Amino acid sequence: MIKKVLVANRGEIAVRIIRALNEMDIKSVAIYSDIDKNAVHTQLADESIRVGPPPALESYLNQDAIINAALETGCDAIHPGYGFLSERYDFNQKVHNAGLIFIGANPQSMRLLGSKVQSRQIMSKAGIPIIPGMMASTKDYKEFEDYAEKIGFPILIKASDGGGGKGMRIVSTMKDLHSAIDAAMRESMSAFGSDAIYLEKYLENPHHIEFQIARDHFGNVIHLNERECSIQRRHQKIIEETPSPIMTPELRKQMGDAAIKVVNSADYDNIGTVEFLVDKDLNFYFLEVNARVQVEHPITEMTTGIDLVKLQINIADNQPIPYKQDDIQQNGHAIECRIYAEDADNNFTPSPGKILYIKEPVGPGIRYDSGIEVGTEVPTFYDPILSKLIAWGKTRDEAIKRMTTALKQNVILGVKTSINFMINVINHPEFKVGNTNTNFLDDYFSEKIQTSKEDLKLAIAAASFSGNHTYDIKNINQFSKMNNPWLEIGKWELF
Amino acid sequence: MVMKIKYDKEIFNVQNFTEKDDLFVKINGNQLNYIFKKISENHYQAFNNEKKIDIFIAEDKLNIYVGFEGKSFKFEKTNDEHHYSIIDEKNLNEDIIKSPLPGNIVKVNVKEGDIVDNGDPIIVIEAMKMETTLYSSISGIVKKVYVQEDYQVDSDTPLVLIEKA
Repeated sequence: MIKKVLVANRGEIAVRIIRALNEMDIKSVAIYSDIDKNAVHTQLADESIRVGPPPALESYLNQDAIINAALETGCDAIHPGYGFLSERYDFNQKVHNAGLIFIGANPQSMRLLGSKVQSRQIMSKAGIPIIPGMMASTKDYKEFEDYAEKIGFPILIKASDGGGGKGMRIVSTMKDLHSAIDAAMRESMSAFGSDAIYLEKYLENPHHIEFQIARDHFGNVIHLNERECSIQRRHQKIIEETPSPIMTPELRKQMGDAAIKVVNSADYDNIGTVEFLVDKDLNFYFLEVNARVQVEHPITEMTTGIDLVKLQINIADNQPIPYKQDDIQQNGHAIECRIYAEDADNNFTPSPGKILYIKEPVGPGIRYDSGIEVGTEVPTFYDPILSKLIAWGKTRDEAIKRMTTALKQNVILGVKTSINFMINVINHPEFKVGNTNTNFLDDYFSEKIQTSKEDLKLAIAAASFSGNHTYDIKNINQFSKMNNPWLEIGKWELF
Repeated sequence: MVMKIKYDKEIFNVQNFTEKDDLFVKINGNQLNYIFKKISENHYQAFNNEKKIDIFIAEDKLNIYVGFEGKSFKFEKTNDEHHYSIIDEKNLNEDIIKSPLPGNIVKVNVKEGDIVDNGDPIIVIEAMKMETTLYSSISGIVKKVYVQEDYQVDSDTPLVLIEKA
């Protein structure tokens, strides 16, 4: 029986996991780096323990410090969340060796699926369609050149051991190939501790559709329908929804079966996600397995009514899945918008800073998974996700409407966020009819969203109220008597 | 009270005043078609015949932040009266590449004396686990390289100086 869990993560996902543990009457231990000493997740857990200085390699990626922290605080298990160490089989193995439960799949399965190259080999053998490309990673420029020539540009360089769009480069011409290889290797090494990269054909304008699956230690396996994750910037998802607007019952059956075949052939034994690309003719190709809880798991929870984090913990605790495939229902439509501290007007550059004010959205069908509060520092050391807004509706239209209202309600001051950008995206006519593909933002949002004169005037007006500088109307007459009618008290620059 | 606010290259003269509980604002002498009410320190409402908008404001030492209906604006506070209306014209004879955000220098593609073209990748900076490439905006000669690989830099740190050839 799992009685106490160390949550080896930070931000909104650590908060999400701690909430599940609370509900299950399992004690929680948070870890923190020096910069997160007062972070929301640190405060929320029953206990918290420092694991190192701010750089991730020395704290949230510091395997030994984390395992020692779990042992020191008397935990039976470690929940890795997403990102950081969540898909590191070597960490997973070390956790096992220390006599602790790793809340995730077994290390062998994770190792196999964690290598994109190896999983391509296995899935290809199992008869699952894969994207044309290399079947092994290499560092040889020449091999990349030959392959690129063979399958034709554009090609995609990918980190074999990575995910989340990091260590990934689209290359359109031979002359950019070498620098893209170097950059992908560096980024992959820094993010995943491995510089194994490979090349595959870059499919243009596909839908990115993934299936949530769950498989337990007894071989029981179900899928919990799909999520459409085509709205991406920098190869990173920002808006996800379920069901997919292009899904049909037949395609769902085919892809769901394929997803189950994928996890069976890898002897996977926890919750996980099988990602596919789907072209305009509804052909689908296996992309990879995400052996962890996904950022976008809440939309599946909203439409199936199943708490995936609790299911994940129970499977790790050797319990059978309490559902059969026929029990899985799809109720209504759910959308998630990821709220990042980033500047949508400036190529989504991260925008670190301090949260000065926040107003969280509320209302029917609204869920807000957040890792911030007033005073939270958004550091440069980690992924700049602040929170996730999830809207559920009986229909897709209702979900979009609710999401729009909730996004408008959600005020975050002190850092730049992508909120306004997402309001524009989900209300774009092509999004509304479900014409989403991975190039959507390039196709329709390559230009900066213009600020209207009206909005600018309102903002200027509001800024003038800042700092108690309001005067009574009687003084207005005095101003007008001055030689210079504008009393200069400094300048405010707006950008 | 009266102040100047800059947006892009435009300067706005702003004047606000209260009448009972209502606030009014004039921008460049024209009164805005809204009545404002203060709800709390951070929360104002703007009204006119057609609509009501909730507006939120916050400030720190350097900036004022305004947000409403998902949109957000950042004003920079400066107190240098002599320069309040002078717009920084970029000196086109040189390009100082500065870090857009705090991060780690992962690659410096140039050394002093190198000749570079407009659009050449000069430096790669990593922050929040993403790499950003900084490019030259002019063609010229690299006059100065202020950083090396693995340097930690703050935002707005000068990294490379390029002089027009």
